[in-house]
Amino acid sequence: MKQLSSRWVITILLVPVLLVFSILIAGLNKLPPAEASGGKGLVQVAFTGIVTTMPNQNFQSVSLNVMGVRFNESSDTTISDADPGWQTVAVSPGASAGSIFPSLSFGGNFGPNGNAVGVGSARTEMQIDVAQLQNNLAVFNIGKINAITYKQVELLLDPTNPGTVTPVCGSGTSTGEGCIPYPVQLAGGSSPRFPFDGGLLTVGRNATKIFPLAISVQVGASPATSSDQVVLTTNICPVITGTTTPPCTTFTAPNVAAVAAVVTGSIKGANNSAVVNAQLPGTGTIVSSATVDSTAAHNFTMVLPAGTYDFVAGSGPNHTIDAWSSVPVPQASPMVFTVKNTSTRPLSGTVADACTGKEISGATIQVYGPPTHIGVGGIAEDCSTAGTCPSDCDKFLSGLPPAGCVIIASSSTSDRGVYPFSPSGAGRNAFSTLPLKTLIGGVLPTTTTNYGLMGTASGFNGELLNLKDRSGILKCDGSGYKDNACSFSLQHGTLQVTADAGAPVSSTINVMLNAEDQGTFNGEGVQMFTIPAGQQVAANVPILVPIQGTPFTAQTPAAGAAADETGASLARAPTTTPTSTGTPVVIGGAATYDLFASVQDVFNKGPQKFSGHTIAVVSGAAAPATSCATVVVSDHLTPLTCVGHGSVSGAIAKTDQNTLLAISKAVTGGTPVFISSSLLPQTVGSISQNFAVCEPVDTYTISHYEAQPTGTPVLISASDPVPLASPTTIPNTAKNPCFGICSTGDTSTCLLCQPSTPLPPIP
Amino acid sequence: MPAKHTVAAYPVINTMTRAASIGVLRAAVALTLLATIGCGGFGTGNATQPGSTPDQSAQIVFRMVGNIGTPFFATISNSRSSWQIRGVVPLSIIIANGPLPVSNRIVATKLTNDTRLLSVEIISGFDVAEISSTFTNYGVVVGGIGSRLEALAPPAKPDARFFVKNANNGIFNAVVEDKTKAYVLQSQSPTMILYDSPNNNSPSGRVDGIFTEVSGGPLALDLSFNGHVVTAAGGGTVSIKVN
Repeated sequence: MKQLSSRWVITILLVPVLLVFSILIAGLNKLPPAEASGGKGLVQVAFTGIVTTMPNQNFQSVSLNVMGVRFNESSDTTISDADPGWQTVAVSPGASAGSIFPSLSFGGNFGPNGNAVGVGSARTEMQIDVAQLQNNLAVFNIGKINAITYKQVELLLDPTNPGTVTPVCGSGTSTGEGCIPYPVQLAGGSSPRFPFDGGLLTVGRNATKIFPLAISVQVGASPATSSDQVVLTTNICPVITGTTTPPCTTFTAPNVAAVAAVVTGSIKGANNSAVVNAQLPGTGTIVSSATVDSTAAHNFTMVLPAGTYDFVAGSGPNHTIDAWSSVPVPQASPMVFTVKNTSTRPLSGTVADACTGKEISGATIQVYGPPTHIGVGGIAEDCSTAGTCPSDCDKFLSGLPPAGCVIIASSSTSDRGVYPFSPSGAGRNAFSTLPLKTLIGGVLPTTTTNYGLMGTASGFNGELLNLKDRSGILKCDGSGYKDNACSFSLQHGTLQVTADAGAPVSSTINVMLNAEDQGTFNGEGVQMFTIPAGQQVAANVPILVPIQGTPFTAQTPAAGAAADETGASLARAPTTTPTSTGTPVVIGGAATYDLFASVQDVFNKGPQKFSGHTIAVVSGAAAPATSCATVVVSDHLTPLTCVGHGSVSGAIAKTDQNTLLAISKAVTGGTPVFISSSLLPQTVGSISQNFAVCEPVDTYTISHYEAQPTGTPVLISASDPVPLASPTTIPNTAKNPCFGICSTGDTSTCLLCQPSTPLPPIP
Repeated sequence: MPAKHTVAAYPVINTMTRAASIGVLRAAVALTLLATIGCGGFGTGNATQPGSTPDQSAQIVFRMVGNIGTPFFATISNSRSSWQIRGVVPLSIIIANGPLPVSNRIVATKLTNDTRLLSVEIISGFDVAEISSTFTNYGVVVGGIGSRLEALAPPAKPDARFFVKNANNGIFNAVVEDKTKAYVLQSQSPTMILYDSPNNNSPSGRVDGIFTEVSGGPLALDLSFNGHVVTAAGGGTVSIKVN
């Protein structure tokens, strides 16, 4: 038999494989001549939603797995999935809301519509919680589709796995386990379509259209056994503000106009690739994006939830960036951004562990730049006249960049601790094209801009560097690295804590350990550990945490701190002296931490989000005082006992986009430890239920917090301690199959969780 | 009698033994034909009768998606090995150690205090078998495929990882192999390929890979071994090895 090397095999194999793929790709991208002649336009799709349940049904979540939204110029809802007329706005490769990945440029795709599936790696889907869409709006994606009039839209759900629902214990007539996800079955068996002969959507060449889509989900009967499916009746209606509004006959669409804003404007001096991003203030989290059209004015349009945002407009290499700070929308008049030609430079560096010198992957790097406009009294004022804007962002007297500075670029580190790494993509990333100057009053100044550069990573103290132009090269003075390279050496300490299950465990358990600032739900570190079968204790489990310092007050490097390019010897002693010039500024950590440990349980075949074991907590563990120090926590995390699921439902009377629900557990002799926090659906009017809590059976306090995106959450009210009802034990023959959250395989009995009395409304 | 092949059993990951490379060639040709048949391009049937090449299990990918740049800490396990991974969205993670254990499991924690989305999609072949999402501070996502995996396995040792990245989320083909077996796969950058138990767990055995760009620009690769990046390379076609 002839021996062939595997390399040779692959080499010759690639030729036919690539040939096949090239034929496929070429064929799919080829448009019918009539359509191609009309060109393409952009559609930004957003979702709003409504959930209807049967009496006494309560669900922790109702989720749909969305592959895309597609349009057809035919109003015939029986046309085939393979009809060539479908034009799809697909989920972006990262599945992030708001990011721009025109669906037809997602190279190397094939699938039912020619643009929804990545070769060899299946399609990307976005899982949406429909409950969270109530009186709210979530931007889905922007797609480039043929510039024609469409008469039909389809919400394209995963045909084999369209979604999940997680009921609370004993929801309605359910006799299945609660707090676990159940697969759903679509009533009618297919994704919902909506036809409108009057012309649903007309896309103009090189123009952007907004398309909010309302999704109605009616939840069918609760599961009778733990292996049932739940039937969902799903309908859609477009929410269009144009002159012709399609009739929505199947349900009453939410009043999206009350919670959403359409932002229009232009970018002066831009090219055709210019982009505007709307970001949650001070976070760099993109909520919505828009590209400009190809007209001389370079107009743009985007939709986003009503609220306050930072806006960042850019036009790629050799252009300034125009950032607007904390601007509420909608604005009365179009937003006009301005960019001008200027020199741009790339920015890169590394992030390392100050104690070991080892690279840190997944660290976040953010560039803070000065705004040209700032929101004052609901209006975006020009900084050249408002006088309230920072001119530079490298003054860290408060321990952070000056108020008003905007995150104009955000990136991450690779597996080798090198940035920029993500977002991937060749363009629209200021790390490759950071301008040396920022416009002031629409004029290019003679001086260059000083930026703030922040590096953060879970388990480490964040660090700030000043970023300046030094003779045409971007430098970070005082970084400690050779030639003032913009690299970070992040400090940390270590907590060692012992976990005690309370008794030897019958089978191995895997436990997630979290550290958070004491008395908050501000996470700082995470670690996974194991207690092997037959053992009771996991001793001295290490978890990295920031070293203590007055939170968000500046610290300076110790005098004479040695430096090298690996960062191995850059550990710094903390001080609390703010500084306006010396960098790096180390962001101080909390003085004490709360710790909690949660067993990762399995139900039937599936790992579960909600544990069936008691969550063990420790309150107020002292933080390490110096870099690289280890503190042994005297209190033990105990017990980790199988108690089963519990749940309770209730309502917070008034909710908005900043409402948070926090669950805490009391600690004898300490402050309560928060074990979770979550956003709530934005309900309107008096309601009986807008949250459902699933946790291991125990006693908890449920609190209502209000938090601006960058502010400290404020406690509004809290419930009395809530004991969750204990599960019943059912024999293996009572249900088919019989599985329990703490069962290990096929057992003779298993736990079935029970409902708790609903809570009275929480103010 | 022709071998039975179905699109559902599309052998995106294929196992090769050097002593039976001709079988590999048959499987590879079958892969090409299946791609053709699956797309209805060149008719149907098993025209070349590739023999008795057995079906392989579908490629399983753990794809981390959500708001781009969201950092996470994930633990992935099958019944043989587990891996801890710290990364950012988006990232595809593939275990290359066929035949794959039937039980695979992931738990991942978002590492930020905000409402950014973190989702994990477990993809089997061309289907999303499971998806789990979180918006909460340090929220957790979990998933599993196959039969029940009671507990996470011990850490992989040796732990060989290929990290493939390029600028444009490009597609690539790859062969990763040790001294006895090789695996063919195709994925989208960025991807981390976990090579489980190479050379029967020998710490000194050779592990290598050949990567070819399909789209998206030149590849950049790192090969790490037991937690350390031991070699890096880049280009349109890249060979990379350790030991």
